[in-house]
Amino acid sequence: MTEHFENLSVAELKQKGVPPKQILAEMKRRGMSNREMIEAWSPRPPLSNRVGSRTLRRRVVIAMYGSWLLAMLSVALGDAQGQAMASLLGVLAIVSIVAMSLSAVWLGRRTYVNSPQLADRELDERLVQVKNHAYRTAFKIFVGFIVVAWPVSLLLLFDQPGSHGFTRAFLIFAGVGLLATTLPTAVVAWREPDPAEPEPIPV
Amino acid sequence: MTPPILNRITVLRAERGLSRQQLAEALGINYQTVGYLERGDYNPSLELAFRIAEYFALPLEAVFSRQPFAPMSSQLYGKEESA
Repeated sequence: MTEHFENLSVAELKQKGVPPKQILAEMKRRGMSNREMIEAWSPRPPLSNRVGSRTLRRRVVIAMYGSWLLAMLSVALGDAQGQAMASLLGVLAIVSIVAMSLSAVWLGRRTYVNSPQLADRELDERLVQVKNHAYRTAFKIFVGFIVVAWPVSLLLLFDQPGSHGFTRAFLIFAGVGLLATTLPTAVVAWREPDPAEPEPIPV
Repeated sequence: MTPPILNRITVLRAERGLSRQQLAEALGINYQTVGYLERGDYNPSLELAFRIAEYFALPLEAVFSRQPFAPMSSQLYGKEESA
């Protein structure tokens, strides 16, 4: 029986309905480490299977940066309106910030180039190129944004002393922070085509 | 403009009855990269090109070329005729 198991993977053994205890014994016999055993028992889907469609990814990117713009707009309009309207816009700003955070988290989990989590060694050479290209593009966009955002935020701080100017400048800096942490991922999410379905293994 | 680099990966993979996933695992790359290679959307590094050629046990020029490949059958028959 053991000889029969030798050529089968753990997934195939599970498919054949081999009892878990026997599979565990087989894995131990093969000299697999604990980590290898866990990975073989419940393999993670391939990275590309965890990436959403391009349309969906683009929508999330638009939602993320759109939410930030909406928060900016709510604060800017809130100052000029009456108390009731200001409260409503305040709620809208909070909702926008929550939507922005959720979009950022979703995007980070569903893209190849989730920088802190995916080191180059986990990507093949094409994906490393995709990642490097995304960082180059992100840097160009980021510098362009900083060139505009820096003088604007300074202008707001000096022109509107007190909490009004500070709040607006803070939101601009929040945008800088958002771009700095999400832009490479957003670039990849925007550009990469839909993931192709893996072909069935020929029999 | 630099002429494109053509390859026979699709034919070689089909000949051996391999899925993209299987070839990708054997080469240590993402299966989507196999698709990119086959469509000619991505040119491999020299290191990967050698790995592919070695995997199929063929010389590099049998897998990659700057000139369009003649069908394998005509190449084989042509050789037989000239021999």
